[in-house]
Order: sequence, then C-alpha cells, then structure tokens
Amino acid sequence: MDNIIDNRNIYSLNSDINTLNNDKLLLHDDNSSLLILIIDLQNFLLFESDISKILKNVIIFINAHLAYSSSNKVCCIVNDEKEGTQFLYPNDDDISEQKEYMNEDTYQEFKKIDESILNKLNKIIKNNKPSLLTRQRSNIAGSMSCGLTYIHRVLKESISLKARMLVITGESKNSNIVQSHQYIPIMNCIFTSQKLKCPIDVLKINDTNLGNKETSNSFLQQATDATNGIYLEVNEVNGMIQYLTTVFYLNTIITSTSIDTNLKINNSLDNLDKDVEDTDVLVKTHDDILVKPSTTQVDFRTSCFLTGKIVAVGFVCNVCLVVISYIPSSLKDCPCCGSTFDVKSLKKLKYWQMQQNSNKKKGFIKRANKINQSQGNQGSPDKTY
Amino acid sequence: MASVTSNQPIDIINAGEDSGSSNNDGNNEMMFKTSILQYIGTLPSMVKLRLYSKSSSSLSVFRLLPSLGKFLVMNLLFQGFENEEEDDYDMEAEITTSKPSTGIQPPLLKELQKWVIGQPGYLEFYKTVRILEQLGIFVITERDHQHTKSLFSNTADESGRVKLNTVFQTALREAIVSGNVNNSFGLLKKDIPLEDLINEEELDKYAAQKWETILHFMVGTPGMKSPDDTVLKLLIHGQLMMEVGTESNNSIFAQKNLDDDEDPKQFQRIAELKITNHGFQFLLQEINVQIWSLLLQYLKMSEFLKLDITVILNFLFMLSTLEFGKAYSTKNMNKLELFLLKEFSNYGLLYKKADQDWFYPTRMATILTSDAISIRTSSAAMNSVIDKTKGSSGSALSENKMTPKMLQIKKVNEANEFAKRQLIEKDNSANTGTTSNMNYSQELVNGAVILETNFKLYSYANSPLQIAILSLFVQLKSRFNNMVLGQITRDSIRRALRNGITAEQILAYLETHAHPQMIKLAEEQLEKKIGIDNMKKRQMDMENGKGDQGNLFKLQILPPTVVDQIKLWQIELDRVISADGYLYSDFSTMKEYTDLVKYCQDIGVLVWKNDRKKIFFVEKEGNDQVIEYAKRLLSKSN
Repeated sequence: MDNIIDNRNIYSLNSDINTLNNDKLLLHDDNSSLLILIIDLQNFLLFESDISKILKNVIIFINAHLAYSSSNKVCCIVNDEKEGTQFLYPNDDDISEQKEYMNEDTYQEFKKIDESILNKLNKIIKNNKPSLLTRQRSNIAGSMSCGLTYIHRVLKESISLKARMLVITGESKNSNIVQSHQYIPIMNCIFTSQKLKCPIDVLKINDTNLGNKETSNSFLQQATDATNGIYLEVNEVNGMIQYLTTVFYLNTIITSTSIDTNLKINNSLDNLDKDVEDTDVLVKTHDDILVKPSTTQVDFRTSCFLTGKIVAVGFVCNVCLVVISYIPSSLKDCPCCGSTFDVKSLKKLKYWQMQQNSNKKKGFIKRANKINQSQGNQGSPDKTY
Repeated sequence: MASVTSNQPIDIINAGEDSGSSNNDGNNEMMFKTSILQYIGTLPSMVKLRLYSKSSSSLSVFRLLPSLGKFLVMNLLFQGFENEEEDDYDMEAEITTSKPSTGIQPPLLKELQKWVIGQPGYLEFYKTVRILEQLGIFVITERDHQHTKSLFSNTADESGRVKLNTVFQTALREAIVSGNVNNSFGLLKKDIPLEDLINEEELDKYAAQKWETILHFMVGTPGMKSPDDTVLKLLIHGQLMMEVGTESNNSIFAQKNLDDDEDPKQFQRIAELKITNHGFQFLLQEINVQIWSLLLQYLKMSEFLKLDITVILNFLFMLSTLEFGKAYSTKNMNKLELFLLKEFSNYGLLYKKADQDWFYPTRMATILTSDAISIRTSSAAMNSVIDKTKGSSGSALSENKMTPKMLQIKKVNEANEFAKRQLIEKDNSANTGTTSNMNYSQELVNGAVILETNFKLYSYANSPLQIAILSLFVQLKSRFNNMVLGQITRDSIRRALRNGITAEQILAYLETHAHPQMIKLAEEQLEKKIGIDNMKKRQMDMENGKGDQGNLFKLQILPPTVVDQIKLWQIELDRVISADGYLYSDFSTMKEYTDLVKYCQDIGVLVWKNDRKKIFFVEKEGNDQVIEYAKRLLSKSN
C-alpha cells in the first residue's frame, strides 16, 4: 500500500506549468557591463593637491566595477590639455616597460588594468606643466566621442553587452565660455549614446577655492538628463569614494542586470521566506526599483553657433535648426548647413536686430513673437526661445 | 459482507527512489537546488568567518551575490573609509540626508531601503537583506525584539541597524583597494623553464578533454577513456550515475551488463555504470552549472569525510580568481591543498604535472564565479522544474506501462542506436582530423540553436557531445560541416519525457543555447510590444492596471507555438493518476454498497466507484473512518 505513489496532485501541477513559464528566465543574459570612464584632466589640474586623491578614488571605483562581475569591462579615457584625448586603458603600450605601482599580490585582473592606467596617466601628468594662462577650449566632447566609438566597436562583437559612461570633470574659471564651443559635439554625443542606450553619468568636482557661483555644467547636465544618467556635483574630494560606490554604482547594476532569479530560489527553499513566497515578483530590471538621484533643475539653454555664447533667445535656421545669437551683416546662407536664406526676411531680421540693439532689448520677446508668426517663408531664420 | 482488500492500481515505482536511502535522496534533490551561496549559508558562523578572512573568497562570494546585494554591500563597504585614512569625515550626511551626523553609527535598515521604490523593490530589498544576513555578511544590530515575526505576514522585519561583517568588510575592501591581501590571490611563479611553458590553447584543450571525458562517459560514448576513480565515485555519490541493477531500465543508454553482485569499489568498467534521470538533467545544464553542482557534491562528500570545508572553499575561490594562462607556485600550500590540486586536476579545473611545483588554472576555473547570472539563472530554471520532476517522471513511467512494451523498447533502441551512430561518425571524422575541433573556448560559443515555428531546429554544434545531448529530444535529420538539422517531433519529445527529462528542462536548454539572433529578434519584438502598450496606456490612462504590467511582457526567445506544444506533449503523458487507498468489493447487497458509498461521498474520501460491479475505492486517509462506519452498519443490521 505504501509504495503507491500519490500522484493526485499531478493535475494541479500541470495547471501550474502555464503560469510558471510565463515568467521566462532570461537565460541568455551575459550580465557584462562596459564602463567608459572619462577623466577630464584639463580641468583637474586646477587643484593639483587633490589630484592624487581623486585618482586614487577613481582606481578604487574601477576595481569596484570590475569586482561586480568578472565579465565587466573598463575603458578609461583621459582628456588632457596637451596630449588631447588619450586611451589609458586599453592601450598598446609595452607592458614590460611599466613600473609597478600596486601590491605584488593584488588580484591580477585589477592589477593589469590599474597599472596600465596609472602608467599612462603618470606619463601624461609629467609632461604637462599646468599653466593657467594658456587654457584652451575644453575638449571633453572629443573624449566622449572616442568613448562612444569604443562602445560601438565592442557592441558589434557582443550583442548582450551593455555600456555606460562616467565623466569625471572638474571646473575651470570660466567654464561656461570654455564649454560652450562644445555644445554641438556634445549634442551629437547625446544622440549617439541614446541610440546606443548608454547612460552618461557626470561627476563634477567643484573647487571651493574658485568660489564660482554658477558652477553647473549645463551641457553635461543636459547629457545626463537626455540619456537617463546621473549628474552630481561634489564640493570636496574626501567623500568622493562614497559617491562613487553608491550613486554611480547604481548604473553598474542597472546596466548589467536583466533579471534576478536567485532570490526566487532562495525563497522556495527557505522556510523563513514563506511570507514573501507567494509573490512571484521577478524584478526584470533594477531600473524600476532603484531610486536614482535626480537633478532638480536642468539648464536647457543652448549655445550660439558663431560665438559660442550661451543663449536663451536666438535665431534658428529652419533647415538644420542651428542657433545663432546674432545675424552678421555678411550672412547669406546658414553658417552650419549652407542652405540659403530668404533675402527679404533676412533683411527684415537684420533691420529688427539693429533696432533691438538700439532699443537695448526693450520689448524683445514681444517683437520676436510677432516676427515668428509672420514668417512662414522657406529658408529664413526663425527665432527661438 | 464487505471484505476490505488492499489494492495496487498502478504500480509505479521509481527504483531509484526506492532503493536509495532517504538520506541519499535528500542529497540528490539538494544537488540541483542548492547554489553555492545557500551552501555557504548553512555553514556554521565560525567557518564563515574563516572563509571570509581571505580576500579572494570574499571577492568571489561578493560576485555570486544577487545584484541588489552587491549594491548594498558596496554601499556599506566604504563607510568610514575616509575616516580611517584621514580624520575628516563629513560627507556621509549628504548622501543619505537623514543619516545621523555622528557617522560612526551604522545606518538603519530603513535608510538603506530608501534606495528602492515600489512593492517589488520592497520585496526584493528584504529578500536580499535576508540572504545577506544568512550568509553572515550583514550584521543587523538593535533589532526590535517586540516585532512578532509571523511567517505569513506580508511585512518584513524593518528594524535594526545594518553593518557589514568586519572580517568580510576588511577582506573585500583590501581586495578592491589592492591593499594587504596576504597572497590570497595566489603566488605567481615566474622562473619556469621555457620547455615547460604551456600556452593557453593547450590549457583549453586539456580542460576540455578532462571535462568532456566525464560527460562522454555519462552519455556512454563507446571507446572513450573512463575518468578517474574519484570522479566516478562522485558521479555515483551525486546519483548522476547508477550502478546497473539498482535502477529500472528507463535509460536509452541502458547497458546489457546486469551484474547485481558487483563489488561497488570496482568502478573501472564502463558497463557497470549507467546514467540516471538526474544525469540526463545534468547534461542539459550549462557548463558552469555542471561544474558547480559537481563541486557542491564534492564539498558534501568531503564534509562526510571530515575534511576541512573552509580550506576547500578557500581553495576553490582562490582558484577562480587566478589569472588564466599564468603559472602559480605551490610553495606555500599545505598538505590538504596539495591534495586538492590533484583532485581538481581530474575535473580539468587546473593543470599540474606531478613533478612540478607549479600549476596552471584553466578557463574552467576562472569561469567559476564569472558568469554569475547564468550560473544562477540556469539553476533557477532547473529549480522551477525540478519540483515537478518527480511527478512527471512518475507519470512518464506510467505511460510506459500503457504502451506495449515491445514497441517501447524498439523505439528506445532506435534512439539509442541513432545517438551512438552520430557519436561514432563524429569520432571518426575527428580522428581523420578533418573537422577536429575540440577547442574549448569555441565549444563554449558553439551549439547556438535556432528554433523555427515549424519545429525545425538548427544547431551550430560541432562536438559529438552536444549532438548527443540534442538527440535526447530532437530527431536529427542531417548533419553538415558546422551544424546539424533536426526536427522536434511528438515522438522525440515523448522519448525525452520518458527518460525523465521534463518539458521545462528542454525549453530551458533551448533558451540558454538560443542563437544570439533569436535573442535579438525577441528583444526587438518585446520593445515593440512595450511601445504599443505605452501608447495604449496613455490613451486609456488607467491606473488600476498596474498589476498586469509584469505579466504582459515577457521576452519570448523561443517561438510560443513550439513552447506550448512541447508543454502539451508533456501534459499528454499525465493522463493516468494514481492514488493510495483501499478497494472495497464483494458486497452482498446493493443496500450495503450504496450506504457505504454514500457515506464515503459525504466525508469526501471516495475516489472511484462502479455501481454495476459494486466496488469502490477510497483514500488511504479516510479508510479508518469508513471501516468504523461499516462496522456500525453491520452491527446495526445484525
């Protein structure tokens, strides 16, 4: 009698099959995440004393990213004043020439990458005597583009890889003017990274000595906003590691997890977990359960194509949507895309601009509105806000 | 008079369950269910501490954690880090604004909870915390003891402050900041004579050969060397293989040798061992799951042999963090570790020549903790499935009884023959060197499967092993230089089901081995669906529909028609159910019969009845009551 197997519950089991298999497991998930780290050395050099501390934190962060999963990858790019954009890792420097900075018995995976980065970085910093006077345009967008092309190359090889980018930047004395030439390149980066589904995070380290009032970098802020990244400003280097391992670690999780079924296993096995067992919630992405710190206000202003100044109101080419802050007297066609403007309306606008200058921007907005409505002609600059 | 007779309606006995002691059975179940984390969770806290004291082990455990767990650990890992280095520590307060500014105080559990939102986030958070607590990584202090913990309440214990286990914290932190790790990541051996250097290709070859020997042995490929004795012992201990004669013959690779009185210590002869149902399931796993399940078995066995588990675990984790292709010295190793070196080289985890004092880890060792997700998800797939395995295999067997036995055996033999023919063919070609491709790394990528809605299956599989595995549930049609073409048919699936493989396992296997193109396609479709739904949602502007949201979108890698059909084929086999109980027969009058039947119906224990023959069947549990009633009836009528 005892050896008759009780199979009555087979029916109930089978009815479960359908429900059970609805929660498809994403078995293919490779779970690897590529971190593109961009160090904007150009702006760091302002405060030399902290740079080693910052770099130490950055190295720890890279290690933490690598520790997350051994399939995680790192690419480190530096934006330097003299050398321009340089790949710190991966690079094709000779390994045998490298000096050893790390402990002999560090985890090899960390050591390999960290030392490569440190070696190259040291070379760059040695060559570079910081001189505040010869400051040129920031080239952060160039570094970002390099990072994005790298992502593109890696994505071609493996489908399931997910990438993200972290830009660590400092501030320069007149950051807005320096950065404003970068508007169009940065916008291009934003569109590319949207297409690549790569969030851009920005960590900005403010120099309290400079005492700038308007500190936020609006273009990078826009980049994080458009790509679902995180923008954070830090006033001090000391707490940096905590930010890196919490706030900026969020995206490591988000970009590298699709599903976590382990929890479910533990659940069914463990009697303690009975209270939550019946809820078959499988979290698909950590995207929807983790709180991301959000920037309260994003500065959406754009920059003038000709002067590089940041503008709130300007003229827009209605073919390529380029924004210019003023109309030069010799202007006949769009400075960006080259399409010819309507001569009549151009004349009108020039006249209007002249008036404005003399009126010292009295009733500016009102007039602009009117002109916008009256102009329907193809090939003439419109106004924007 | 009613005579009570015992009855055996359908005799379904899985000999494996029958013969194995209860202890062994438990082990067997655990092998698939337990992940390494759960195993660690069951260890005593002292052992855990000793384990975590090694940086390599801490790092490996960290990597195996669920991703939210990793985040939480990382969150706490550097708390007070700056404080120790230099004495300014005020940034804490800004991150979690509500944090007490004292800084030394570990954060409240509730504060950590702020990182997650929503009901799913809440659940996941507390599940994760519980896992971490079980692992001894989280130390939760100041728990509110008045919180009555009822098992069925929907809220978790939210009180208390969280701290990382200091041993774990320092070990992991030292690993990440590349501080003092005490050689736990192995000692590189540099001065190796040139003629003894081994390149990566050779290592891959070696590992693949070692591992595939085991798998081939399990599949029963003719002409293969049998693996080492210790491996065989483990296979038997884990009930992946059986000594023939103790298991019912439901394997397609059943051997003819039926020596019951074989000395159990003589494992050398292949004919004595036979693959079990669990073995089949094992074959369908991914390689890292296979490795882990064997290693877990190994740990359990060593526990039984009173070996030091900590040393073995530390050794394994150390092995998994070594760099592939580098040689490591065995200088500082103790006796047990040297013994383990020898043991694990049998599984292809490392390469060591007997007379040399250094060893090479192979790629297999380095993937131990690498693809954490795929390790876990695969075992999860197994898990959701394994609960049903018993029932299904039981019913599959009942199907056995229903079909004419001759036909059954013939089919099985056919399948057997086919699979073997495939293997031999492959072996021949490999011998001639035309398509010899045992490259291990390639083997990992190979075998991508494309499944079409018309049940046709294309697999870019080269190794005889993969083809043999596929032939477990696919009717293979033709074979090309780099791929095989097959058809999933009712017969082929039923054959697999009879071998104890379940539909879910087949589907899980197909999903894990799905070609990247299939995944891409599925993802695109999913995105489309989500896009359409978002539009709909905006239109309908409904807020109550949130409950369905989760179920609406699932990534369907395999064509749904095929998935459903395979499941239907499985259900088809479950037409017979069995019940323990008693048959009542030989009633003298109809009234006696109807009275008793009515009573049985009333108390709900009646399973089956036949009025004409005046027999009925009651459940085992209710039998005593029925007998009591019958006695009373009898005494009344007397």
